[in-house]
Amino acid sequence: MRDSSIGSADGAAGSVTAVAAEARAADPALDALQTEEYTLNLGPQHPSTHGVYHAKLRLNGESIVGCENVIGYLHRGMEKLAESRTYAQFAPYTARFDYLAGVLNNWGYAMALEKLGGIAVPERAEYIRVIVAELQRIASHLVMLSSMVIDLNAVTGWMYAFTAREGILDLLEAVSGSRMNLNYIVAGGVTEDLPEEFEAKVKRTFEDLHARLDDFDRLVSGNEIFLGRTRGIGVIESGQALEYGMTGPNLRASGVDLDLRKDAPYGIYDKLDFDVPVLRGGDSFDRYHIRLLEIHESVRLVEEAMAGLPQGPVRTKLPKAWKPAAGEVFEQIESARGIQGYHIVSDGSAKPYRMHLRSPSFVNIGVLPELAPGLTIQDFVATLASLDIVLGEIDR
Amino acid sequence: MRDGQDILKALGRGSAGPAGAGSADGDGPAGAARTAIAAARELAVRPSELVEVLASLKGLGDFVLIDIDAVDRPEGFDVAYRLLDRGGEGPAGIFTVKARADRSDPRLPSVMSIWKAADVMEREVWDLMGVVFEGRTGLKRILCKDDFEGHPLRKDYILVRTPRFPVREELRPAEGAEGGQR
Amino acid sequence: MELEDRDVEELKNNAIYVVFSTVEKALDFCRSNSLWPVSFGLACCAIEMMAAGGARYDLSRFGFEVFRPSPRQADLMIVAGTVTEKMAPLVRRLYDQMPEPKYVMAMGSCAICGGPFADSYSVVEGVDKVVPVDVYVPGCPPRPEALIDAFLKLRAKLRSPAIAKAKLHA
Repeated sequence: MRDSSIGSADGAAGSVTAVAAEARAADPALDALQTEEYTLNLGPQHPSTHGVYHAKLRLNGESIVGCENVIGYLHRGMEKLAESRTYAQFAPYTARFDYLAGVLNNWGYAMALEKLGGIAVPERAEYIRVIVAELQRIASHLVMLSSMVIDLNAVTGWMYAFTAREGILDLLEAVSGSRMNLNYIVAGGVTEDLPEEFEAKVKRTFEDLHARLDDFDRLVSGNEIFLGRTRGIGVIESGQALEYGMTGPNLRASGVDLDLRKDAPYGIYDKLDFDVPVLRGGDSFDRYHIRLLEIHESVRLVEEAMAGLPQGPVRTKLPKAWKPAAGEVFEQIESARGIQGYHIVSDGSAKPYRMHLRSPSFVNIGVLPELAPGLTIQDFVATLASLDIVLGEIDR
Repeated sequence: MRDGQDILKALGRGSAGPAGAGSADGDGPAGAARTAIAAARELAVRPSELVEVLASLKGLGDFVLIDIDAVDRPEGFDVAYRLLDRGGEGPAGIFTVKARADRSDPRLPSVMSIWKAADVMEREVWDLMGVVFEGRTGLKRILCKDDFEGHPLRKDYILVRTPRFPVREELRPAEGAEGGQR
Repeated sequence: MELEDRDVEELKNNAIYVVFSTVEKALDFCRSNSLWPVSFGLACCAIEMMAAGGARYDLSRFGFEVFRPSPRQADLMIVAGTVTEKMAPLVRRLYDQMPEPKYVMAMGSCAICGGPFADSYSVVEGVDKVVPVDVYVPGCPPRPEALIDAFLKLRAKLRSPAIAKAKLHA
């Protein structure tokens, strides 16, 4: 079944497609063999697509000749729904936007509302926000690491990382009452103060986390099969990444040092001391490895924020049907997957006039039609896993 | 909000002619443009100037396209192109270029040739708002179903009540019955 | 050969454990201990489904950990997440591809009734508009323990289908 509307061919030199083309040119008998292109639907129901993502792949044997992204299978119309919800009613929806980084979405939304309404956030709340957001970032990266290795059939790695994540989820549950889809960071601060003995809990969890991450690292990062399947696969050049508007760990793994926490600091990030890992290779292994490094940086941030936690209130309460002044705001935040943006247009009423959510994964997948040709199907799976997409965010 | 002509003048292009206004430290058109940009975070341009302005901004080297989105206002569709300004001193900020498309026949030139990121972003604006981007291929629905009718984020969109997916046999209304359940 | 009552009494009194049943019941008992779900996570609930299969909540101790990628090898479809109009025909197609006997679990508020997105222009108000559902698991998302409870209810339903008709649930 031929579908010529799907993206372009052109395997890079040395790729399977180029080798096949050379072989045909050299051997007339082989060239006379007419083989057809085969269209394969990868997804939307697929164990390795991280949700309902659909890739229409045009194949020459096992190597990809063209790739087209088909998304929208989870399009829930959040932006339209926002126009019929008050600002407080919409807050829980934001967590379902990028459901692996729930609290980070909450924070971006809260920041946009604070800018819209000129609301001040107490200092203790700012510190707590960093603590909970970085814990959420660790949990999100652990899902990425575990999904990537299970896509390459290393089930044990998945089990290890997911169990490590449970410890972090316990902390998030202690803070907010919910393991996932938290609604903890709200405009004006955070909903509740940290529980008692939280520092001790964090310390114990991090000891456990370090042990488990060590195990995971030793199991996976030096593993010959894993390296063979991810080193040099799906290389994204830094220029290419910027062309495609990529942000987040994917961009930093391609050598571009862009992290909003350092380059456009919000909250109290400018007071905290942390590094932003940047790797140069741009291949799937680097995108995997950078997240492992970022987990360590997030641990550092949490410990630092806990040490410097001041006393004080944690919330500037807003009325339920809060009416901000008419205006427009765009706030951005460094989410686990890249730059997440919230564009809110207010007409002075209790419900937004327009809400637009800038999704990092939606923009990141734009690179796949250019990246896929030349890869084999299994390389495509590894590359897709390394891009760390979340369909809730892509489709909204 | 500064006019597109200001920036184009500063960059030495546009209908205002060449020879951009030199900056105080005299590093030529690029420096002047940078100063102009640093002063105002937002810029309104006519659709006809859009491609040139964005191409010039890209040429300055530090701008990355972050987002394209549209707002449905009575006066027209306000399409905002948000660029992340990585250069310059100080924190990286958002620089917005806005263009307005007619309500009755919304058309804007495509900027896919400038930034490849614009591809998926423009498709989303077409799908949800109905703004046509000219000069590009492959402008088709990306989030809604392929056979979806209408542009849902428009303010005058009416929600259709009959089910538009295969409802289970047992739940289908009897033959001859009106409409269906949602 | 029919056993006489006094033979049955004698067997019982001598504590010789023999079970009399039908083949159907025996197969249902085996199936109930070994449901193979098709991996069909749509949205956020999929993550809690994965967590239920993880080491802490461990579906494996019940025999339910074998998630099959292909519906043709599965007997349970856990619809975990929001069903949109674009996805609905595919949900139906996957359901049709499953061999009998098959069961469906609607996990999460979106699969039960559309959830917080019910009034959206592109969301199906519950997966039971598209496929028949056996167990509904409320939550947003349901905790892994809730999912395990749902599995156990489904297991009870398989073993004695009359339960599903009972009006009162304990």
